[in-house]
Amino acid sequence: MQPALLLLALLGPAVAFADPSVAVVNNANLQNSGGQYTGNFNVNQAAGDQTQQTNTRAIAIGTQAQAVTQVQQRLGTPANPAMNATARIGGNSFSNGNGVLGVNQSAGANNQMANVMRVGISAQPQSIDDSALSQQNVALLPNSGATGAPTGSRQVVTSDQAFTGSRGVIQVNQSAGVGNRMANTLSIRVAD
Amino acid sequence: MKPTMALKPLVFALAAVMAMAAQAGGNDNGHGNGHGHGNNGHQQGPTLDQLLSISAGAGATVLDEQNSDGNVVTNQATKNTAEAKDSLNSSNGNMGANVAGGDGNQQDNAAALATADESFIFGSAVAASSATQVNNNNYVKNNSTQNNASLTNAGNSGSGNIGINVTAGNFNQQKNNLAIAVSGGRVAQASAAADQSSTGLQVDNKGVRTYKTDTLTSTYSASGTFKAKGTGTAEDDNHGGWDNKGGGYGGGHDDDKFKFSAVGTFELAGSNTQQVLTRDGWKNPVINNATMSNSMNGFSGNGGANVSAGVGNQQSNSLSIAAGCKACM
Repeated sequence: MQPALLLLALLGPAVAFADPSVAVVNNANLQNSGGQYTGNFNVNQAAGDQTQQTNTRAIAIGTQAQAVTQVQQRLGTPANPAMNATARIGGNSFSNGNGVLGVNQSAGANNQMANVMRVGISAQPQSIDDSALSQQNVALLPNSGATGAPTGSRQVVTSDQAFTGSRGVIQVNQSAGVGNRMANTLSIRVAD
Repeated sequence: MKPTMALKPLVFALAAVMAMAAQAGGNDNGHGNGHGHGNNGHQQGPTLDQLLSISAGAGATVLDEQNSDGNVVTNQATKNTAEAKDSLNSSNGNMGANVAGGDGNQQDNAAALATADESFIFGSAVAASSATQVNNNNYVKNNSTQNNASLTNAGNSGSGNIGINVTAGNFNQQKNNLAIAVSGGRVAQASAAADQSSTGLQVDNKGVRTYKTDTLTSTYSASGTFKAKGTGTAEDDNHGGWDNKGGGYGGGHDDDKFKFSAVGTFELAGSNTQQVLTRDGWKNPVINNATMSNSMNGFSGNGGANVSAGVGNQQSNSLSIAAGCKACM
């Protein structure tokens, strides 16, 4: 290869990484993790600011059994939406597992995520479920500066190999952005 | 029955093992110019009174709080890096790991297990876990800060209870809670709670502005009025007069002509060139990377992993299991 061509080839990739149009870059990346899990398995992954994530499980087995969960998430400060955000679950993550899985993945700011499960197996009827789930968030911060200021890019990627072959309860929240509220709730009550 | 009732000391008996994992503080690397003070979370287990007054059954509680209030951090091109790598693989039992880079981060892994005599069927099994995370009035200024939290090839092929917390940045809170109570009693109560609150957190993220030079070129034309003023003279053509010598008096006047014209154009034009700087983007932006790769594969039991990069992130994993006697009517 001619030296000049080689130089061009070397410079080429560098050109592709221009300065971002925004001042914040958030990347949440999960690769080839959490496979073949058994039992109760939970992952929280956050890149950014002021993210709230929880996986909450309660299991009760007895003659008089009751499982209760309480989840509260509150945010009081708005965030600037100008950012590049990427959330990625890649490879064969969380594949061929068995049991209860909770995954929260967030890139960005002010995202709230909850995975909740409660299982009550009782020989007698159970009282009324008084579990609670609440998420409070705030409005987005308006762009400062000139109108049309860029808000950056958002990207959410899930591999087609992820979560394959897993059995049981699977709760996943994945978000790139600002001010997203997500929750998965499962309640199982058995009286026999 | 409400879970709060389950915790009242006179109602239930709690005689068994209380196992409370301790918090490992962890600011192990990656300090820049930050200044911060995090209030370490304090764990609120049952009081001694409660332990004594509950005389039968099994109770396992993890009740604790992480509170961070009124701190200020300024990061100038700070790099906070937290990495757990090639760790906690093929382990059995109860494991907890906390790795933090930055300021004011709070991390905790707690497990409480309780068992009671199988033969005592009037007892109860009570498992309660509560994770409270409060972030109040903290301020972080990030100038070209880089926060990298990564969990790499860790926590594979283990069994039992494992909790891993990895964080890079400021005022992040992470918890893994486990409470298990087993007894031969009829009543089984399991409650799990998560309370995450963030108020008054100010995060100011800035990079370095980049500018491009734009050349502005303009052309212009001008218009106006043309005013001319002139004088002209009329000349006699010099053959009038007395040339009719024999004829007496002829016409005394010839035709006199007067002509005047002014011709001209205005041609006014020009061009103007100036250069201005316009905002093009940012270099050295604030970067938050939370990465998990080749980790927590083939794990059996209760596993929790928290990975965060940035400011003021709150994460918790809670599991409560209460197992009583199912056939004791």
